[in-house]
This record gives sequence, structure tokens and C-alpha cells, in this order.
Amino acid sequence: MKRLCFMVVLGVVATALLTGQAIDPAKKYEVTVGAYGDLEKAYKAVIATDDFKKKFPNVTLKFQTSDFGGHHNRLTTVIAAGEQTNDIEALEVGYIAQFVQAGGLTDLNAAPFNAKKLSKDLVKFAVANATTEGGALIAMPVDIAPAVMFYRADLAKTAGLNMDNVANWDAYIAALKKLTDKSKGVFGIEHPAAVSAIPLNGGKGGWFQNNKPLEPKSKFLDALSLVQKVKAANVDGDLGAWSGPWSQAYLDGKIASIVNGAWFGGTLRTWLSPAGADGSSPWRVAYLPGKMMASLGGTYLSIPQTVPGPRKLVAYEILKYLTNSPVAQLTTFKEIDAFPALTTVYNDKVMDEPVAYYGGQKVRKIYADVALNIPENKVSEYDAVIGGIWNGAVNDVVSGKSTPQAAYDSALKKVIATIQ
Amino acid sequence: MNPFKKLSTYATTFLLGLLALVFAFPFYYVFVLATWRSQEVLAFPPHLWFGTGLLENWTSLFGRVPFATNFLNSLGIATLSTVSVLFFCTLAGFAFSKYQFKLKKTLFFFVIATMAIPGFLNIIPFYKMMVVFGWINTWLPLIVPGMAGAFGIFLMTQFLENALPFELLEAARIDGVGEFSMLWRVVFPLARAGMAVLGVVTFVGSWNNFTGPLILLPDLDATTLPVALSVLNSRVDNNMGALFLGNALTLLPLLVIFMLFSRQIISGLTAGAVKG
Repeated sequence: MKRLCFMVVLGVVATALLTGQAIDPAKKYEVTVGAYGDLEKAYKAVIATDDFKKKFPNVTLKFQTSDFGGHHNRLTTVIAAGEQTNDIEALEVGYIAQFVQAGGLTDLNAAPFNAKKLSKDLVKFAVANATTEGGALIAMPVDIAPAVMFYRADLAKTAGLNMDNVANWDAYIAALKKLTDKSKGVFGIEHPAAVSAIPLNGGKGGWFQNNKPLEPKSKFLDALSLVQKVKAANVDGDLGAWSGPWSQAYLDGKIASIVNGAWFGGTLRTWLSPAGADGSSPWRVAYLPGKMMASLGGTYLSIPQTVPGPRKLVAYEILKYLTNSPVAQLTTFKEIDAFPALTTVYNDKVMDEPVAYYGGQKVRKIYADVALNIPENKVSEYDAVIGGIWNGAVNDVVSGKSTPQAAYDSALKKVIATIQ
Repeated sequence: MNPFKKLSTYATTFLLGLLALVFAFPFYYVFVLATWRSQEVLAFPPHLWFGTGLLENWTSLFGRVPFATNFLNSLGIATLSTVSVLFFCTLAGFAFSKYQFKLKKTLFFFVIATMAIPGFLNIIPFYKMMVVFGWINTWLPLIVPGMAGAFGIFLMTQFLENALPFELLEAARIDGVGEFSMLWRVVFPLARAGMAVLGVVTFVGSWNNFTGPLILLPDLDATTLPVALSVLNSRVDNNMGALFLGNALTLLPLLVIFMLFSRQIISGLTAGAVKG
């Protein structure tokens, strides 16, 4: 009897998969989503679209949102305990390696999902980060953060600068010197540490070369030297990010430029520098100095292994929609400035539209170009710990406590002690 | 009074007043920031007086999180935790301090030893147990396992050791008072100061607990204030005003409790500090 029941269930599941009907139109489904930060806001906008309602009239999403740290701590604990999580769980890129190494998430490349053909349209570096050595895809990238330079056109014009094609970091520092006017309380950049992650491609991975930590040495020394040069140029406001003086400096128009992920545009638009009556602001977007390509964040969606089989199939349909539907990707972008991981939308006419906030500049073209050219950063389970150690080294250089070489040596010692 | 003594009194009063201001300022500042709009909260120089954004923050806070439900959850969990901890820890403290029984020292050592185990070490097996019990998204995992905590037992044992004379217990026994009745008539009244300290420590600990509700009460409607307020933490939508209003409202019960029980807390903290 048991065998018969098993065969019947297997038959139903197989039929559903073969016919592509993971979702029975006659039933109602609730998919639970574990999210952090602004993701719930974005995905609520997605499910409010006509496209979603038409495709999934009988599916509702229930969100479980927490702050960034809380969400990942909860998820790590529940997965480690082998207990049931939400059907879909969001992961920030900084945590992806931990799950690549430790497991706990469903391989989306395996049957019945076979996501390989879908992931070919997603940015390559982001897919590579979520792929294990055995070829398992443990999460699908849903948004990425191409790094760009935001600058104030009004201040650049006063200083007689063209910030659109800054040749290299030395030229950027020279420009920052011209932008800084301490008599008016204007600073070229908020803090020297703001540039530290860019030469490391965001520092979310890439800490090892041939299993040796902090190699190639020149890459890390260059990053620390850049921080030291910015500090020595005396062009920063010594403003810690997300502090009171920091936000007030942006609101008062006292910060001339910042290098950050595309998402920072959302922070500027909604908070730090709201648009005027005509919908525009003095902010513009340019490539990073020397047209460096880097990523500063990104989100993945995963289905934990503990989600029961039939729910997995429904969850996958929603995950697939959020990551591979142009409507979902563009709605998310519009809502929270999270840049699409789906490359096919980079040719959408929306990407070529002028953006009023940036004075009609076609900033999305820049984001898309950077997104397509971000180099791969090999992730490891130690990324979060090494990132913390590295921040200490950056702080030592900023405070003048260490030279770049001394800070590098000290960080290397700590990293070796941690991973051994 | 001689002029030197007078001057010294004034100086002491002035210094104490200054210190009181320094300690009270953060509380005042939270209430000030709760009345400024999100965009104005982080202004520099900082606001020192109340603003006009209270209504906006109120709408935003209550629109985003089920604040009243979360408040009730926090209050219910903290109150029941405190009551149960006070009862069971005083009971255990009474036994350890005033009764002689086999393996008393070993048992007491075992209880104290549990304090040396960091809480996060057992979080995974603890979580699994709560799943098996079906207690996820209920108040129980945040109340029941901590009812007889090592810290409370230790505190009450030490307190009752000094505060409860054997003679009084003997007199009660001679008067025919039973052991359990003695607990209500003699022990609890004399342990009030110690219980006030334990009560406040337990209530504040439970009220501020973040990791426990984060993992054990994942649903927004089932969770407590610290976890619910963390939802407002966003980099695109600036909810600072609502967040500070939530913090201010969260602080209120703690301030009320401290004001109501300050005398007992202070006498409890200083009990045994001076040899009588």
C-alpha cells in the first residue's frame, strides 16, 4: 500500500514537472519569503503588477523581513539546525560563499529545476559566485550593484572639472583637491575608507590566489596606498557613513563625490539629496576612475533544502519569475534602485531613457556596461572574517597608525591565524 | 555648618547633578528625536528640542509594523518571564541557603557552572527542541526555559543567606507555619529587595532580547518590539523618525518600572555592601 501511495505521489509530481505545471490553477498557494532591508518593498511592488497577477493569480507571497544582520543570523541558525525555513530565502553576496561551502540550499541546476538554461541570461560573475566546485547552483542572483562614481555637477562646474572620464585614481585625487573648499565646508569625498573596497572589486571575495590569502600582494597594497593617498590629499570630510554629520553633509550639498554601488542612487534620491521641484538634482553618474569595473553588493534568492518537495516547485516558479522576468527585474530596480541581474533587460528601452533625477543623464547605460564587465571574484567561506580584518587594516592606514605595508603585514598575519 | 563643609556639600550636589544630567540626556534625546521627521533626525548640529514630525512618525511606525501587537508580545513575555523567574529562583535560593540536603554543594556548583556556557553555543539544539515542542512563534520558548536560571538562583541564594535569619524560620516553625506557607509569609516579604533587583534585571533582559525572538518568533505579528523595529532599518527608505519613535515608546515601560521600584532596587543592590 505504502509503495502504491509513493508511486502515485511520484507520478503526480513527475506529471506536473513534465507538463510544467508546478502550480495547479485550481489551488491557492502561499509562498513564504525571508528578506532583509528594502527587498520586501520591492517584491511587494512586483506582486502588485498586472504581469504577476496574470501569471500567478492563485499565489500570494508572505514576507518575513528583518534587518540585514538579523536575517542572515536567523537563516544560518535555522539551516544549521536542519529545520524548515521560508520557501525562498534572500542572501546578500557577502554570505553566499558560506552556503556554497557548507550546503543547506537546494541545487537549482539539478532536476527538476534545471536552472542552467535560465542562469545563462544572468550576469556571469554573480552566477559563478553561487556555483559550487561541483557545478551546483545554490542560489540565483536577483540584483547586483555595479560600482560607479556619483558626483555633483554644480560643484564640478565651479571647479572647472569634467568628471565623466577620469583617467585614473591620481587624476581623481587631483579632481577631489579642486572640488574641496574647506572655507565653505565642501569636501571632495566623505572619508578615505570610501575608496578602499573598489580596487578589490568590492571585497566580497577575491581574498585568495592559489589558496594563498591576500594575494596578489600588489592588489592589496595598491588598495591601502590609495586610501593613504586620499587621506594625505586632505580632501575628505572624515565623515563616517550613516552618521548624523555624514547625512547632514549630503543634505547641505557639502560632499562633491562618492564611489559606490548603483543602489546608492536610491539613498541619494529618497533621503540624502531629494530632487527639486523639476525632479532633478545636481548629482550625475560617471564610470569609476580608469573605467575600473567593480561590484559593491548584490542579492541572491535561494530555496533551502528543508523546504518540502511540492513547496519547492512552487517556490522555484516564483524565484524564477523574480530573477528572470523583465517586469520583475525592472520593477525592483525602479522601486529600490537594485540593479537587475538579468542581462536581457539591459537592452530594454527603459535602460536608454534619460533619468530626471540625474538631469536627464542616461545613467542606466553606464550601470549596464559596468554590470556586464565586472570581473569574477572567487568567493570563500572566510570572506566575512577576512573582510573584517581588512577593514581594521584600512582604519590603521586612515588613522596614520600604520603604513600600507605594515597594515598589510599585520592583516596577513591575522588572516593566516584565522584560517589555520 | 563650617564654610568648608558647606562648600563641599554644594560641590558634591553640583557634581551629582551634572552626572545625573549626563546619564539622563540619552533618554531625553531619544524622545526629542522621536518628534523629528526622518530626514531631520540625523541633522548636525543635533536637535536639542522637540520637533513637529511626531504625527508623521506615528503614522509611518504604525503603518509599517503591528506595533500594538508587538508591544503586547514584549510586555506579555517580559512580565511572565519576570514573575516565573522571581518565583522559581526565590524558591531555589531559599532551599540552597536555608536547607541542608544531600549533594547540596554539588547541585549548587552544577547550577553555577551552567553560567559559564555561552548562550549562543547551544542555540542550534535549543532551536531544534523548540521545533519539536511546536513552540515556534509562541511565547513559551522565551519564558519556560529561563524560569529557573542560574543567575537568579545564585543571586537569591546569596541574598537570602544574609537577609533571612535562621532564628526567624525557627520561630515560624514553632508557631506551626508549614514550609510552603513560610515561603509566602516570611521569605517573600523579606526577599523583596533582592527580588526587585532580579525582577528588573530579568524584565530588562527579556524586554531587550533580540536574538531569541529573531529566531524563535519569526513572524512579524508574533514577534517582540526589538525585532519588529529592526524592519524599519533601511538604506533606501529612511524611517529614522519612526524608528526613534518606536525606540521611545519601547523605553517607556522600562522607565516606569525603574521609577516605581527604584527604592527596592537600590536597597537590593546595596544589601550586604555594609557590614551590619
